[in-house]
Amino acid sequence: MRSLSKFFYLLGVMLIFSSAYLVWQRHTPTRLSFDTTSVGEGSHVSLLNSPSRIRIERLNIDLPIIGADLEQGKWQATDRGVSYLTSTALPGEMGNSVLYGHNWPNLLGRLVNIKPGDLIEIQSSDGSLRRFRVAYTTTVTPDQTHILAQTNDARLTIYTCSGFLDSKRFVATAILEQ
Amino acid sequence: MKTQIITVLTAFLLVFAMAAPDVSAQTVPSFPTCANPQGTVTASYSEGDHGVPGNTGTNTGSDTVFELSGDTTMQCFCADNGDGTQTNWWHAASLTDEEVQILKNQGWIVVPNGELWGLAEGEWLTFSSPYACPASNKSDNNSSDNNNSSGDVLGASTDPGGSVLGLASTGNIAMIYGLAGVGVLSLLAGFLLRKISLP
Repeated sequence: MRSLSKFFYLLGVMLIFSSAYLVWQRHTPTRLSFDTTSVGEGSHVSLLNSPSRIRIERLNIDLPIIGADLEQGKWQATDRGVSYLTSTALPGEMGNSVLYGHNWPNLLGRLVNIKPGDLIEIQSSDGSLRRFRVAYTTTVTPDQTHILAQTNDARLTIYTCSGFLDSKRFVATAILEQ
Repeated sequence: MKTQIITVLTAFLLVFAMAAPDVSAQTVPSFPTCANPQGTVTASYSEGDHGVPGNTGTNTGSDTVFELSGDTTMQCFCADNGDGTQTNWWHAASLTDEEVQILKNQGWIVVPNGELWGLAEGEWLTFSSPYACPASNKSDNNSSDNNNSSGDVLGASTDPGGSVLGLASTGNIAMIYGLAGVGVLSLLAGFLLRKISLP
């Protein structure tokens, strides 16, 4: 009985430390960590034209962009910045460019405060800068994948988790400024 | 003491039971969003006053209606101040009264005759949700889409990477609460077991 008691004490301490670590992770600045995420096979993105940085000045968001893929329906994600779904259009080209990131305070936690009319800047590896003006914001459920559909304009769709226990997705849609 | 152990174990079960998915009794059709509309434009107005189910006030702004299928339509209203309302219209003629009541409890509104709204006659169920859209005094690069009344399909529903069942999970707050909660319960269980073992 005493051994069982010690087991539960140890388990409880480990679980609480784990949750504390996750809380710390959400609040620390971007950390240098070795992430094996890379641009997947079959992607049309080359190192020269890949989006490298996203800035939303009004929200004080300035983060690196890291290529990500869908592998058998599973989303790659990074905790070092914002993920760019490489199977979608390059930001600035015709179509819907999809970006997403954790809703942590050090990443896209402030994205929920974005409003139509706000400016989003995407810098590419070749140094070019493209500006997008937010047109819509909405909150959807995770199964509403229509927001990923390709379009006949050049737009950016960026989203993060929101709602009770992260049960929803906050989506901002921005159109390329010519 | 046995009662306390049973209480702790029951608490464990409750934690996991709360995480069980909520199964809806109804299979509600899937609707796109006004931020990336699909379907065929059947009506489009860049200004004026428009009806929104459940909203008896004056709704002044742009309004575009997309036919998604024979039974589903999506209305995207954007007020002049940038407050948008997306209304999903569902012509669910085969639902029973009980099923309709369940949906009403979930926030759906019954429109007895769709013909008065420019749709097919008969009962329609509507569900409205807010979204933010460009205010009328701001430049809107998407205005050409909203004024398209030629019947073009505005977006193809092509998955970007094969079968996409859902959007990425980019939050871990549920895991944090779960770990902390189970951790506290474990500590409590350890404490109770220690009390039992003491002579």
